[in-house]
Amino acid sequence: MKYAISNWIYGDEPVEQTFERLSRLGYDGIELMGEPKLYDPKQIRELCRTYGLQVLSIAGIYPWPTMERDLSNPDVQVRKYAINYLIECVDFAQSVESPVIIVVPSAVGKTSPVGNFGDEEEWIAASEREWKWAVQSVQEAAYHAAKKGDLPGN
Amino acid sequence: MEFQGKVVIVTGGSKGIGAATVSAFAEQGASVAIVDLDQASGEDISRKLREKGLSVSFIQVDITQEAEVQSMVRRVLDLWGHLDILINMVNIPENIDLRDTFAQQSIQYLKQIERQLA
Repeated sequence: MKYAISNWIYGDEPVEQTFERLSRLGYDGIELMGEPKLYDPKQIRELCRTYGLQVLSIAGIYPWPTMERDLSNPDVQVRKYAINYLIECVDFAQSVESPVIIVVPSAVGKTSPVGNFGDEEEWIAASEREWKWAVQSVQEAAYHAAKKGDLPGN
Repeated sequence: MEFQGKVVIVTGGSKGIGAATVSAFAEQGASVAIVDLDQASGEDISRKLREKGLSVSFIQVDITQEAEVQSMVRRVLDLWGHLDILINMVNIPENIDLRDTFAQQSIQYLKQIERQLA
């Protein structure tokens, strides 16, 4: 069993401070917030060595409402942005040797398919369409990950 | 004597609002456990209230230690037979980093579960 805490819970605290805390308190690793642009992978790898921790997972961030991170959105352009984001997370995971990426195949807090619906049947049909788009989007990012090889540890 | 016969625990009861709470309950007839880490202040207020004929007892406890808390409750039950009211007045010192506290308690809890499941 390996234990980690997500640096997401510590807000904008400098990442080295979180590494230091988790190392001091006996954790095995850290989960990094899925915001690849916030980090320098080389610095993260160095912090892993310095503090004896492993990046155990990348927590994808998919807040709702969003026009950039909804893998199930009916708008193909929104889905493309979301797929690109997920691919960035895959690349980031590889660069910091994380074996796991957490993917939300829609958006956190999105409780209904996008659109206005006249009745329940329309709502169900829209939900089913979004489910298929979610699966397709994750598959597309997975193809990218497969081309790059398995994530470390898998 | 609104609280005659009642048994009260006041954590952080040795000083400030905690001590005032202890006095208020004791003067209304309650038996009050003064729970605090600060032994000198706790024994001081305990002595003063006892001199007034009130029913109080100081118990030194580090409430961050679960075993000490459980022991304290057993002692209260031994003293007065039952428990009616818990007032949590203990404050968190300014030098405590809650970010550390959360991480420390989390891993202790998780490792305890792991041991129990092994």
